[in-house]
Amino acid sequence: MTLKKNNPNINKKKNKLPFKERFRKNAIVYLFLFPILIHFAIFQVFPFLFSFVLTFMDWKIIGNHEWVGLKHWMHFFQDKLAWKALWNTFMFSVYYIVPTMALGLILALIINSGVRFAGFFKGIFFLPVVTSFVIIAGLWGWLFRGTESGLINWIIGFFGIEPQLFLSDSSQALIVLAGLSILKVAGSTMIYYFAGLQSIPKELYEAAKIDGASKSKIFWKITFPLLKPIHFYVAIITTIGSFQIFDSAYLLTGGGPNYATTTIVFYLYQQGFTNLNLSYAAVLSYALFFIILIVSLIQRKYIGKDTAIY
Amino acid sequence: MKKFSLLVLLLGFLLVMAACSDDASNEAEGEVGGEITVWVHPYTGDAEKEEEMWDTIVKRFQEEHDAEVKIEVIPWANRDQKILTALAANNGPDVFYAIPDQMPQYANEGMLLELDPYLEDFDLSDFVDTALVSTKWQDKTYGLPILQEAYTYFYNKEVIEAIGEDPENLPETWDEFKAWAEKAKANGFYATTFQGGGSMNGTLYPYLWQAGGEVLTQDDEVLINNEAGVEAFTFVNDMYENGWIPEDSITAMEHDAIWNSGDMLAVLGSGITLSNLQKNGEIDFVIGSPLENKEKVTYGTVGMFVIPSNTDNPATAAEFVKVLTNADNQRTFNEVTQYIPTRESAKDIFDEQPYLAQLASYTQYALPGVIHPKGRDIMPMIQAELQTMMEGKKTPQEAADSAAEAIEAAVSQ
Amino acid sequence: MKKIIKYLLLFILAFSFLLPFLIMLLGSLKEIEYALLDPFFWIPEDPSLGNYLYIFRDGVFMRWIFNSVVITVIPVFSQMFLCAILGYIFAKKQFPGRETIFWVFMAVIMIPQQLLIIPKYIMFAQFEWINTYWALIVPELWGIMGVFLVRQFLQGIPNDFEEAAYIDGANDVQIFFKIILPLSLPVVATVGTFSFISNWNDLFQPLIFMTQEKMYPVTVGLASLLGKEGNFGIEMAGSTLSFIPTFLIFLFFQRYFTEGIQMSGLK
Repeated sequence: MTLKKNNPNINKKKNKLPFKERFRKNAIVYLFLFPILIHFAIFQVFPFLFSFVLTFMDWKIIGNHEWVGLKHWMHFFQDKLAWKALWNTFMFSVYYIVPTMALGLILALIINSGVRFAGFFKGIFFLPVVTSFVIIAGLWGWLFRGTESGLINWIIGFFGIEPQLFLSDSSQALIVLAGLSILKVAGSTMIYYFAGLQSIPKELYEAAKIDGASKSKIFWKITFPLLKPIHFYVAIITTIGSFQIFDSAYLLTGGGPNYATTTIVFYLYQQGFTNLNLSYAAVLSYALFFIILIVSLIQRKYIGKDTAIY
Repeated sequence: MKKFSLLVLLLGFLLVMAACSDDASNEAEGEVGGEITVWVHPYTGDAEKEEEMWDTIVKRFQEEHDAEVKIEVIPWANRDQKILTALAANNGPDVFYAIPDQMPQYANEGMLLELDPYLEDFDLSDFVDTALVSTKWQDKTYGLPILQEAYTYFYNKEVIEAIGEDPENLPETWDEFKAWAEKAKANGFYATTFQGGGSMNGTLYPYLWQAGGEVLTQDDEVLINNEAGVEAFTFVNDMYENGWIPEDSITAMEHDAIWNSGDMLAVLGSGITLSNLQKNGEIDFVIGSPLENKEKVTYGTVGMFVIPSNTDNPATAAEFVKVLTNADNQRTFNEVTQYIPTRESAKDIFDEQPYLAQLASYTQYALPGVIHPKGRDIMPMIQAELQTMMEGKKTPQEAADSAAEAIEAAVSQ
Repeated sequence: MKKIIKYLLLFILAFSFLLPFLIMLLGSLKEIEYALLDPFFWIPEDPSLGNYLYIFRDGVFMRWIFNSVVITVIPVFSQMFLCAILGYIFAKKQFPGRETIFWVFMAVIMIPQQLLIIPKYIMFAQFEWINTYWALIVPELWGIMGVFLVRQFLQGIPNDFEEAAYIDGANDVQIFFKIILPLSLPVVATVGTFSFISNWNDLFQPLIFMTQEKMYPVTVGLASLLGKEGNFGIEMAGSTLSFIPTFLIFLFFQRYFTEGIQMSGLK
């Protein structure tokens, strides 16, 4: 444990360090990463590869499975409904991702800004996150009931707007479902941003104030850029969640009207469990996987690079 | 890292092979004994009462047979997935509950045990014909029915009187119903429900069958867009355009709120509707018969118990299913669950319950749905066309034709 | 004036978030099986605890709570610990294949759960984990989401602390426990909160992996009380009961770990 052997310059060339030194620096990696990799191989990689193998078979629940090669993949490329489902999922993401991130950030800023009863508001905004999805979905569907007596229709009636069909209207249904997800998730996003805001050193704000910077400038030049790691996290998880949206369509619209709310996961659920076409469902899952992966890597390019602030 | 992937792939193949199971056999095999697991659902909201009911039924079985029966109550939610996942892993129950939409599909995939070898000396004459129809696919029997329903119209007496009609003289035909519906609308009520987001069994099909039409035959003939079919589509379209059904009928999953608030003339319902009405006592109701156009027919689900083909105790499972659906047990079961027995002799439980007796009298008109392995596949397609029509983007003829096209494509795969 | 607008918006927002919750809470006090047309049907005229009594009626509900606790608490602690360590590893440690491994970890959650349940079930059936706690605990001992969050958080923290500690002769395990972990409390608390919520509210996995009533956690147990048509009052009561522990955990973690932790004091 003596210091004399350690020259700070040597630490940079990891390979040249004596084993004892490497171990001291990276013990934690050796101790924990290997068991985790094994756990990962069993509980994640196996199901993942199993599903991939399924795409090349006609997989039956009971009975003999046949190898069919690329049959299901070919079918996917010609399946108009699958592409409609992908399009719906994409549109849903447009309605959902940025608003959720923005709302979460706004809420976090409000809570962090020293407004009275901040803790109380934090709790309120988080309520939908802890409430069961089935309940919130049911209540949302009830609020947006497409008849005159729906609560939202009743409210907009005061502004002279005609009752809308909402979930029974193929151009509105997806937006209403996006609204539901925003309500459910904004509280989580708020918490992530709130944690991130805690890691920005106070001195930076003080220095900026002394320099006479306006609130808006402080936000855009200091807060927003320093939140980049959190932006990346929130962007990725919101995107993954968005592309996998299923429950709201299942509970509220049954995928309609006229497939307007048939998202890709809803479609694959139908194919797999209602039509017993599990191999095709696997193909759809993998198509979705590739899309999410590509989008994530794109996000990584633009907001994910390691930030060297110091 | 590469070694890991290889290991995992190997593990993967081993497990895939393990998951493949033996072929189902065609002979009645084995003796009654050992243990079976039976999956049931919470049919009512009363878990205690149902537990007692199952204890009674299992006891009766165990008096005659030396076998253990484990009853497991599975939630209704996601039950398809639960059953399919368990069967795929060869870890499923020996008996489970199925409805006519599932039976032909599972049977066609070879997932169900054929029961005919076990029914050789068994008297099926006591069973209601319409109930037995739904347990057969391609002339082979795959289950025995325990309950049946008949959907018919429940009318709100107050609304009837408000529109100036006579509760003793309920509509029997489409024309009579249309007349009442117009009056209801004129007086600010909805005529009836329409759950456009749900199953076709409760929405289009009854009207289709009443018009004398059919969706799809067992020989893969698509009939949905013949004259009768288009008549049914037109009827639905008229109901929507005239405002006889609520504006959100396009994707609504239920209209209970409207009915329970007294704003609707009639609701298409069954035993459950009856229990709710009796429990809550707020609506004065009267039950009408299913409507007749060219035919007097309605939808009525059938609940049956089936056996997966990979069970390892087929004899006991088959015996249990036979005992479970005998007259005594049907009486016990339906007294608790308030469904309609599928054996004529068991219908005497309703001697004291006039409403249920009335519903029971309608099961002779009840069809259990489209008995075809693609029956479930085609529903979303028909639904989409109905929805497009109700949104005003297609005429009834166009919608019916598109539906027919989609069905043909699905069936020919 | 600006302040008034700010507070007004705040209240409108807060009210919209509060509304579903109010409906749930008040609705649970009404013994009613179906929703009515009236926009305010959920306001109970005769509030009663009947729904709650019905749920508690059997001893079985306590058993369900016990099950929920077991399948939630263990993964929560395990995840907080492991995700902190792994987040640190991926944020600060250099080793070959680091980025690749991380993205492979991320990749597998991009496949929908609905499909993966089948191979998982087949595997657990082979392990004889069906109807045991193992199927719900072991796979959940760590999650890439938590690791990802900690990693992002730690990327925003300068390396100076560690460098200084190395120079002082500490090894990395010590550095982790003495320096990194205290710094990461806000984010580890966040990981704990979301881990608790996701495991406590999980309906789908226990539904598939458990068939015996005595093994059901609260989510599945409540679902098994519902007849075919559901029951509004019972569902509301059930969600309220489920909601209480998660909300308390949230408050606990937020108060004790997140508030007031700023970077400045630590240099």
